[in-house]
Amino acid sequence: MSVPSVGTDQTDPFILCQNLVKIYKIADLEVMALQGLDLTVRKGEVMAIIGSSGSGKSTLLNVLGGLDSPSAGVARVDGINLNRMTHSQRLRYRRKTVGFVWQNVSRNLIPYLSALENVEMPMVLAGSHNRKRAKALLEAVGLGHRMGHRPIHMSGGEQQRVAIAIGLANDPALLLADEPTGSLDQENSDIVLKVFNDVRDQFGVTIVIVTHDRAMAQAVDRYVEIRDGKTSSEAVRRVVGAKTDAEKSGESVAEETHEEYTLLDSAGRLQLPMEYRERWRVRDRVKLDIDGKQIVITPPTEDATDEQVGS
Amino acid sequence: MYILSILWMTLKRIVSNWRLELALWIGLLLAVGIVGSIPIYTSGSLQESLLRQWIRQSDSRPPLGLMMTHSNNDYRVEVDRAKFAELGEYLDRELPRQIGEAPRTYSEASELGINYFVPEDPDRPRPQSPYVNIKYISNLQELSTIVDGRWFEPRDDGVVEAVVDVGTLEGSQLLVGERYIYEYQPRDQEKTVITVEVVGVFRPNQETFTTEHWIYPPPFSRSLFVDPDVFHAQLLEGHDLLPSAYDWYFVFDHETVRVHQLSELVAGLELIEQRAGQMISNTRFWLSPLSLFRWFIGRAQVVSAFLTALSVPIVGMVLYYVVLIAGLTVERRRNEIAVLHSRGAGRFQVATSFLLEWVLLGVAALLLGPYIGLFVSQVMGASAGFLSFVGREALPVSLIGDAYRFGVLAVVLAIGAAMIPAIRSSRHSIVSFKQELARGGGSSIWKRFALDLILLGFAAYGYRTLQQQSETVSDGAAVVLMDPMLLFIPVVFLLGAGLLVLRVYPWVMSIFTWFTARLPGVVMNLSLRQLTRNSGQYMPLLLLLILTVSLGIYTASAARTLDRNFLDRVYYSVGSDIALSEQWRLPSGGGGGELGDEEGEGSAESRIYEPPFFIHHELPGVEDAARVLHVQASARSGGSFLGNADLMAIVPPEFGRTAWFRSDLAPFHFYEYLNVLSRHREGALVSEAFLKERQLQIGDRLTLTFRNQPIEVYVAATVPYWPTLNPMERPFFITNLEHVQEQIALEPYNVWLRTSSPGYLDQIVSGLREQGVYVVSVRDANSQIVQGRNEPHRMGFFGVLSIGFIVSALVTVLGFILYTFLSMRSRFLQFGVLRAVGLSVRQLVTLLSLEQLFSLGIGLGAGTGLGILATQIFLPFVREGAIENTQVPPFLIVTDPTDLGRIFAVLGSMLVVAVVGLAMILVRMKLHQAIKLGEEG
Repeated sequence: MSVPSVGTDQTDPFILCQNLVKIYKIADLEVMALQGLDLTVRKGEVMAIIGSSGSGKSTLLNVLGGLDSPSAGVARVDGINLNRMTHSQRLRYRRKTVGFVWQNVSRNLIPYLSALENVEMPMVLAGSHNRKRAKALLEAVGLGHRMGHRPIHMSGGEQQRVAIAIGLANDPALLLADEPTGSLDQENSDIVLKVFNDVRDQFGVTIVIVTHDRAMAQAVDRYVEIRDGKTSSEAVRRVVGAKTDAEKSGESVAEETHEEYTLLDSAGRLQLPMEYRERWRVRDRVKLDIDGKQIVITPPTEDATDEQVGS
Repeated sequence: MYILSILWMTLKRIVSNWRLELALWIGLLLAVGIVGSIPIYTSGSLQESLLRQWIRQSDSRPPLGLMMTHSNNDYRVEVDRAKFAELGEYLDRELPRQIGEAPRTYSEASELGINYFVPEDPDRPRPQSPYVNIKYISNLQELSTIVDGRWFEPRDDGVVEAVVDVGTLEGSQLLVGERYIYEYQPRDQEKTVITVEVVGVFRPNQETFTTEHWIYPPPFSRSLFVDPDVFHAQLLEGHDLLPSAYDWYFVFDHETVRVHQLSELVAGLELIEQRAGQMISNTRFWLSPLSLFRWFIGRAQVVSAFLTALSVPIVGMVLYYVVLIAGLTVERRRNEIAVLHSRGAGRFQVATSFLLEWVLLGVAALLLGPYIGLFVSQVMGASAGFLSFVGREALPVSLIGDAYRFGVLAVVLAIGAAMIPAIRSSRHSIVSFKQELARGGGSSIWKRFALDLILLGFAAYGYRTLQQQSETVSDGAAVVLMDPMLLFIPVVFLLGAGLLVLRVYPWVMSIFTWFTARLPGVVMNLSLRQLTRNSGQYMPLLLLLILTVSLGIYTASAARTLDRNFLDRVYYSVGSDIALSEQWRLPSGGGGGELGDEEGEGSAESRIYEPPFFIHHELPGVEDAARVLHVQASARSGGSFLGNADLMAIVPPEFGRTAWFRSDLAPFHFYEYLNVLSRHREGALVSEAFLKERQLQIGDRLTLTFRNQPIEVYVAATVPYWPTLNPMERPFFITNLEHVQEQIALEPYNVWLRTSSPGYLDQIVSGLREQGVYVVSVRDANSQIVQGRNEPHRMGFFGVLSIGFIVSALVTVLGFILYTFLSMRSRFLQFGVLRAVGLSVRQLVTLLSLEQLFSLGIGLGAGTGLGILATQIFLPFVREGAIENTQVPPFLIVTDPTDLGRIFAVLGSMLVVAVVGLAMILVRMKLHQAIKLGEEG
C-alpha cells in the first residue's frame, strides 16, 4: 500500500531520527552505542533494521520504545519528541503509542497468566480494560481457540503471536519487534511474519522489526542496515507494477525485489563498508569524481591500484 | 471489573510463587504474633494481680462499689433540688453503660445533717446528746426488719415518722412513740422546725448484712430514718430545705473487669464524675476503684513498655527476615517487572502491585496472627527461665483489641520494610536491569558506608555510657528488672561485629581456597570457590545465623544471671529454706510445765518457755534444723560506743548443715568460719567492713549489750557477708549460742530448716502445732521464689527472651531452607555442566554438603564467639532493676554451659529438619539427571 521512496520525504515522517547519539557510561568506560544515526520511517510501513551484534540496533529499539533516552540528536515518533520527555510522558508513551514484541518469551509473557489475561494486562496498566478487544486481538493473530491457555502450554510460534497481540493491546501507532523470530523454526517464522503483515493491514500500525536475519529482513517493505551505531545502507522493495502472489508470500522472490542503497547522513556523509575499504585499500581519504550521471569514488592515486569504487 | 481483574492477577501471582509467599506470610504472621502477644500477655498476667490487689485493698467494701457523693455540710452551696433526681437517672443510665453490666445492687441515701433535737414536750426525758441526723436509705425496708413498733408511714398532719436502729436507740434515750422537734438551721439562716415521731426500731437482716447492700453500714448512731418520699416531698420541697449530703451507691460485679479495659473505664468514670460535678456542685466519687485503676494502668504500661523494649530486637530480626524474603521475591520477579515496564507500567504501578500482593498476605496474617499471639503469651506465662518452662495455671488471656491494633501496626511495619527492595527494583527499567546483571552486584550499601564500623562505634559509645552509669550510684529510676539498654547496646555491637565478620569472610574463604587448591581432590576446592565468589548470596543468611546464635547466648546468660541472683537474694534473706519464729510465751498459768526450770525470769505478765528443739528434726521433709538467735545489740569497746549491731548467735555444726552460703561471699570456705567459732567459745565473727572502719584487730575484746545485759566477746575472725545480715546497714557479730545464752536471760531464737524439697511448709507448721508449738511467722524461700517468678515482668522477661530466640532460630532456618533451595534451582544448569564435565553424583552431593557445612559452620562459630564476647563485655553491667550497689549478696555474673547446650539443641534440631527437607527437595529436583542443558536461566 505504501509506496516507499528514497531520501526525499515530502510529508513529515512517522519516525524521524537525526544524528542520534547514545552513550552508555559504565564505571569509567564510555560506550557509544549510537553514533549519529539517521532514520526515517513512514506511517504504516513494515520495515526491518538489521545489523550484527553490537551494532546498536537494540539500543535504537530501546530509544524508540521509550525505554531509554538518547544522549544527543533528534528522535521523534508520531510527532512526540523522545529527547524531552518527562517521566509521566514517557509512561504515557509506552502505554499508548508503542507496543513491544521481544525475542525472549519470558520478556513478552507473564507465565502465570493465560493468553487472554496477558493481552489484558497492558490494558489494565493503562487503566482501560476491554476484554472484547483483547479477544479480537487474539482472533486477529489466529489464536481465538487458545485464549485460556497459559504460555507454558503453547508452542514458540503461538507464544510469539500472543506477544504480538499483547503489543497491540493498547492500540499503539508503533509496534517494535526485537528478533521476534529469533528462536523459531522456519515454518513458525513465516507464520509470525505473515501475522505482522496482517495486523499492519488490519490495524494500520507501523512496525519496526530488529533482526540479524537477512532473510527475515527481505520479507518486509524496506530494511535498513546499521553498522557501528549508524545506518549504513538501505534496501527498498522495488515496485514492479502490480504485486504478484509470489511476491507477497515468498522470500525467494523478495531477493530480487529489493534494491540496495547506501545512506547519507544529514550532513551528506556516507560510509564505505569495511569490505570495500579493504578490497580497495582505502585508508583515510578518497577522491570523488563526477562522471556524467555517476559519482565515482577513487582511492588516492599514490596507492598502486586504480580500481574504482562504487558505480 | 477493573479492580477484580487486578485482584485476580495478584492472586494468580501469589499462587505462582507460593513458596516465597508462604515464607513471607510466615514472617508477617510471626511479626503479628510477637507484637500482638505483648498486650495479650500484659493484660493476662496483670489480670490476676489486679483482682488480688483489688480485693486486698477494698476489704471492707465490695471491690467495684461506686459511691457518688454530694456533700453540702454547711448548706453553703445553692442546689436545684430537681437535679438530684436527674443525676440519679443519669448515673443509673451511664454507670451500667460504662461498666457493661447491670449493677448487682443500687441504693441512694440523703440526710439533712446533724441538728438540735429535743422532745416536743419539754417535760419528757431528753436524749443523751441533743443532736441527730434525719436520713433516708432507699432500700432500708428491704434490708431490715422492725423489732419494735412499726415502719414509718406518710402523714398529713405535718409530723414526720421515723425509725431508728438498735444502735441509735442504745446510744441515746429515744423512746418509741415519742414526738421530737428537729431544728434545721443552716448557718446564718432561719430555723426550720420539724416535728418527728419515732415509730419503730429496726434491725438489719442477717443475710443482707454486708457493705454490698448497705450504703452506710449499720450500726448507726444519732440517725433517724424517714420514708424516702416523705424526705423529698415533705421535708425538702415542703419546707424548702437542702440536704447536707446525698449519696448514690452502685455495686457491680468486679470479676468482669479486664485489665485492658481499665483506661477506657477510668476515662468513662472520670467523665461521669465531671458531669455529675457540673450538674450538682460538690459532687464526686466518694468510693471508687479509680485510684487503684490508675495505678494499675501505670503498672501495665511499665510492664508493657519493658516487654516491648525487649521485643524490639526480635521484631527487628523478623523484619529483617521479611526484607530478605521480599528481596528474594523481587529478585525472582525482576523479569516480570521488566515486562511490566515495557508494557507501560509506571514505577508506582510496579510498587503498587507488590504492595497489593503483600497487603493480601498481611490481611491473611492478621486473621491468624493474633491466635499466634495468644499462644505466645501462654508460653510466656509458662516460662521460668531462658528456654525453660513450667506447668503453671494458664494465664487468663483473651484476644483483645490491642492485639489487633498492635498486629496491624506490625503488618504495616513489615510491609513497609518489604517495600524497600520492591521500590528499589521498581526504579529499574529492563535496560538498567540488564546492565546490572552484566556488571554484577557491586558492593553492598553497608560495605560502602562502613556500617559495621559505625555500629561498632555506637556500641563502644554505649559501652562507655554503661560504664559511667555503673560508676555513679543509680538514682533508683523506675527500671524494671533489666535496663533495655543492656539489650540494645549488645544488639548494636553484635550487628556491627556480625557485619565485620561478613566483611572478612570472603578474604578468609579465599585463603582457604588458595590452600585447598594445593590439595588433591577438586570437590573441596570447588565448594570453597563457590562460597568465595558468591559470598554475597549467603551473606544475609549468615548475618541472621550469627545474630541468632550470639544474641541467644547473650540473652541466655543475662537471664541466667538475673535468675540466679534473684534466687541468691531470696536465700540470703531467708538464710535457709525456711525460717520459723515460734511462740515462746504462754498465757499465764498455761502448760509447758515440763520445762519449768526455765521460767520465771522472763516477764511479769506471761511466762516464757523454750519449745523443744529436737522435734524439728522429726518434721516431714526436714533435713536439718538450726537455732538462730538474732537480736539488735550495741557494741562497745573499752567503754567507747561503737554503734548498733546485729548479733547472731548460732550453734556452728547445726548452722553449717542448715544455712545457705555462697562460696564467693567470703575468702575462705564457709565451714572454716564455723570451725573458728567452734574453737573460740567466746569468739565472734565480725563484719569485715566494721573492723576496718573501727580499726579493730583480731583478738580485740568487745562488749555487746542487749537489753542492758552485757555479752563479752572477742574478735575471732572477719567475714564480709553473712546470711540474712547486711553489713552495709549495720555491722554484725556472729557468736556461739551457748555463750550468749549463758550471759543473758532466755531469749526466743528462730529455727532455720533445710528441707529435702519445697512444699513441706504446711506440713511443718501443722506438725509443730500438734506438738503444741505455735508458729508466729515464717520466711519461706520457696514461696518467695514462686511469687517472684510469677511476677508479670519477670515471667514476661524470660518469656520474651525465650520466644525471641525460638523465633529468630525459626526465621534463620526458614531463610536457610529458602536460600539453599533457590540457589540450587538457579544453579541447576551449573550442576549439569559439572556432571557433563565428569563429576559424579556423589561428588556433587559432597560439594553441596560441604558448601552448607562451611557456611553453617562459619555462622555458628562466629555467632558463638561473638555471643561469648558480648557476654563478657556487657554482662557485668547487668543489675536487677533499681537495686543499688549496696545489694546483698553481691551481684554475681553467671554463665551456664547448659544454656549453650539448649541453644544448640533448638537450633540444631531445626537445622536437621531443614537439611532433611532440603535433601528431599534435591531428590525431587532429580539432581542426578542434571545433565540436560539448554534451559535459560
